[in-house]
Amino acid sequence: MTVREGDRILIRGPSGSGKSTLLQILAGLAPDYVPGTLAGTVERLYGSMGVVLQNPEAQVITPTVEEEVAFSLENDGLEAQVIRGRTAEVLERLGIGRLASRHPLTLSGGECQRVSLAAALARQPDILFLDEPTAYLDDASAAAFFRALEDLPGRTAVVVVEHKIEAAAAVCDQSWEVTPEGDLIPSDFRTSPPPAGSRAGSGSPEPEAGLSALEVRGLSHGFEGFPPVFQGVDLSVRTGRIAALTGPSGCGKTTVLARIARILPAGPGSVRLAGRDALAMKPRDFHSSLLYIPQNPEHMFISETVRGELSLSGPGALESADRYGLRGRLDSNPYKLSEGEKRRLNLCVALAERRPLYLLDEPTYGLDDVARAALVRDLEALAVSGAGVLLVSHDEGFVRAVADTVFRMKDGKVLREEVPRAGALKSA
Amino acid sequence: MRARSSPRNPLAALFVTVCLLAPVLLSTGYATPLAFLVLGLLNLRVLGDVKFRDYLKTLALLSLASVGLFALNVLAPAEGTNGPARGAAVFLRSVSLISLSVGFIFAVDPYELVRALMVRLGLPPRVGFALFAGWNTIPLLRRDLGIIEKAQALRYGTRRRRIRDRTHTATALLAGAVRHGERVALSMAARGAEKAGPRTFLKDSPWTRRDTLYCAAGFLAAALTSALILALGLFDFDLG
Repeated sequence: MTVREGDRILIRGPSGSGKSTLLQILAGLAPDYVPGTLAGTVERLYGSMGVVLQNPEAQVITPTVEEEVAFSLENDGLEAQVIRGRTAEVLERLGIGRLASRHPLTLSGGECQRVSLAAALARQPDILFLDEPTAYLDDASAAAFFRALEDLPGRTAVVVVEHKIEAAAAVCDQSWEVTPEGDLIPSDFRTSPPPAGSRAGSGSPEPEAGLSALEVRGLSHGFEGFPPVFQGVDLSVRTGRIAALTGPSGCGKTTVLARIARILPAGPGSVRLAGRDALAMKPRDFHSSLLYIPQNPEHMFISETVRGELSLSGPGALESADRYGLRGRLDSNPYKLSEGEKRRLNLCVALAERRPLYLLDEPTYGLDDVARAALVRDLEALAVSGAGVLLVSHDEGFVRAVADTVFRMKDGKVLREEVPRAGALKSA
Repeated sequence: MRARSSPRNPLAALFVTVCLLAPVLLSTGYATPLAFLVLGLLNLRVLGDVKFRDYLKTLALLSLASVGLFALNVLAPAEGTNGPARGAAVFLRSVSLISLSVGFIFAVDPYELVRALMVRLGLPPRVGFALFAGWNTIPLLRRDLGIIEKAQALRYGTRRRRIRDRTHTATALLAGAVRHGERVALSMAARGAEKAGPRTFLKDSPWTRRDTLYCAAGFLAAALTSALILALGLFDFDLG
């Protein structure tokens, strides 16, 4: 593989295939800062580089946005005046100048990732490495992120690992694919067929809406010293239905789930599970009424092997392990799986648990198209079995394919949309 | 708990705090801890924007350890000592040390302290910014702990959760912290933090004449107070 000046390259492939590792090798981070043995040769002819990683909050080092952007320039030993000029210029160019004095960890995911991009661009790099930079962002923020790359100087090369191919296509002009066997082959991302897995085409019976699985009324939440995140949120999920909660990054979607799951303390509003007041339920009853799958898949791990994780949830979990490509990883430590594999493991567990209500926070993050298609089918199967599902996602393609009802959060309010179920799952 | 920005250089505040702590560390009497407790409170006024209510709440909480030390001396005194008297001295010393330390934490922004250590005392930036990142991690860990506990409790459902199973919460939290550290280290390396060349600091940690005066005043106040206590014969020192 050769990257030339001005190339805009997309690297794609199934989750766990080594895309991020390849990027780290190209950026000179592996094997120096990432464990492993490197065979073959890499010749790096570029002078300066910029890197944006997946998780915005894991890239934050300094207490202000301005310092965060200036960090690499300070390390390069540039003069303070030059640093100030470049920092201000790039912040304005990305439309985040107003955030200069804020702590990056108080920003939304989208804003925080823009800060990471600003930090990379401030270096005026010869080459820019982007590792799933929009993984935590909603579609609008992802599009805005890639739009910001359109103004890059023509000589700047870009190498991007991305599952959201439509968004990346706005910037990239060539594509390489890392195969499950670890080979790197040229591919044409513009002609990729959408994977199977639409609800319309799955052949499963249409789930029937039944009793109330979840009823949320007048839910409000705010953090001390800040305006309310949301106010008077009403939403409901019936058994046999899949509802999605969407909205821009930072609008409070995850906070709504945290209130329902009693992760956050009680506040204004009521939550009823199958008609019962959730706050009045005994812990034992509450814990058997729902299953919550957090954004970070590691938070659910309670065993030392994948097999152990699955065994706890019964034989059904082992069956779905086949479908999610985890059969060969049964004796691995869950923490050693790739991000996508960890998420698939959580899904296997969830599908086998058989609870009346499922709360899923960003279930498609880190999943490739095949696993996303499998998830559509499995969530549908859950609904058919009589469970209610409320998922938070900024993956619009997935939401269109799987949800019967979409609750859109904007400016602290929620709008309900009944949506047709026949939308095919497109390659996102 | 968030420290406020002090008008004094953090290293000056650190110097004066050490000057106030030293005599208390050496004393086993009543007068020294009491006098330096008062000096510490005056120092907080000089350092400025400190939330006294939060400070007192934290002090009260941590002073429970001092109460424990007092009770220990009263209930199980060392041979040949007056338990209550010894307990009172230990209590005062402990409260005074806690008060001075907590005061420093409340008065000085941790980021500014680390920055001052890098700019003024040559702390390697790699270490300094790792400390920045570590401080950033604290609220994230607090958030993650709540999520992990609930996600795992819900996963167990009605199944009995043994004591041993609760260690998985700590494992998940620790794994998250380690992973976060790895990612931050990668991000730092990608942005040239490992470079050996000279580094520019956009935000300086200025040392002014006022800082020098503040240090001199703090040192003199500590020295004169110690001298006065010695002259009055109120200083007790006991290695035992």
